Amino acid sequence: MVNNEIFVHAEGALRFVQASASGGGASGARVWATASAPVSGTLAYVESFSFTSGQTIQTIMDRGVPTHHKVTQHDAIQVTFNCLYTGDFMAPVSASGATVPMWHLEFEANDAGNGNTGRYVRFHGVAVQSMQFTENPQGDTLALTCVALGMLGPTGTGYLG
Amino acid sequence: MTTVHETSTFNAEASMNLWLQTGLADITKPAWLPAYTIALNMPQGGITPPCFSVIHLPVSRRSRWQGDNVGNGKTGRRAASLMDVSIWVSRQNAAYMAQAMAMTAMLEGVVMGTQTVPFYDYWSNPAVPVLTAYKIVLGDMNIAETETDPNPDIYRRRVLIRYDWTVRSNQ
Repeated sequence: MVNNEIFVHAEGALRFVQASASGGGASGARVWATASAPVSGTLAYVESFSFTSGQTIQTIMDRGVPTHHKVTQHDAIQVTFNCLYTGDFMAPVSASGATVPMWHLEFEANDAGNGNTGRYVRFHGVAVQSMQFTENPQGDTLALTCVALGMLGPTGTGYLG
Repeated sequence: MTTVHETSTFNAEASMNLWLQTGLADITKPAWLPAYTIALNMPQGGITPPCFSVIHLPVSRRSRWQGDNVGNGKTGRRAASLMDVSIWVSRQNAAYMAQAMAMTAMLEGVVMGTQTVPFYDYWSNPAVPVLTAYKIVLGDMNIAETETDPNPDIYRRRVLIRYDWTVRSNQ
């Protein structure tokens, strides 16, 4: 992949698909397992989007001298976005029982400068933590804060885009 | 094969014209106010006072959203335009100022009673436009200063009405 150009807001797209509640067995919902006949689509009127990934690093000492690192924990991925309220905003999923309704999200940065390909980042097992509605003169907004079990990317291929 | 989307500027301006004509016609005019005309093709068509004339001034098509995605597989932008409505009266009528003020009040009443204007699709059928599921949002109404008309018989008042909508890519 060449990487000479910046990516901008106007090239992005955020897509969703209903996630399977049970996911992939032992790995839980951290894999890309979709619900039965899942609803999917592109989120519209998105005004801002961000994600934060993190991990806990433990530096190991040898006789008081730092010698190497160990990853002791992968943090859940924080995903936030603001979009305009259109009245038909999709609920994540309609799973019932003890399962938590979840999306899988896929962010695409259109890579027009590289043969019109894309850079994709996938977020697996995304649950909505909070949804804030605000009425505004230029469009009522929804601010969503989500948490994902894991992420993959950037990659050169997408599932939804 | 693509056609122009229902939210095109063409349909927006035509729908706004329809809204204004309908709104003004709904007002019971006082007997002392003469019949007025509405000129939608000024200046080519000219005016016959007392007259409302309408022209549209496109302002911006702002890119506001990620990837310009506006739903239903469309891309689009937020459009803003000004509806420039002028009121023209003849000073030959002794009550020309009262006419101008009354017509301004008529316009004001129509605007104050409207928050959104539905889109009609003139692209498909200009004679019988079809109501669509899209809308225009009315914004500020401002009275603009005008220069003295070069014709000494004419007195003019000018009103600017801002309107916004989402203009979408072709179907």
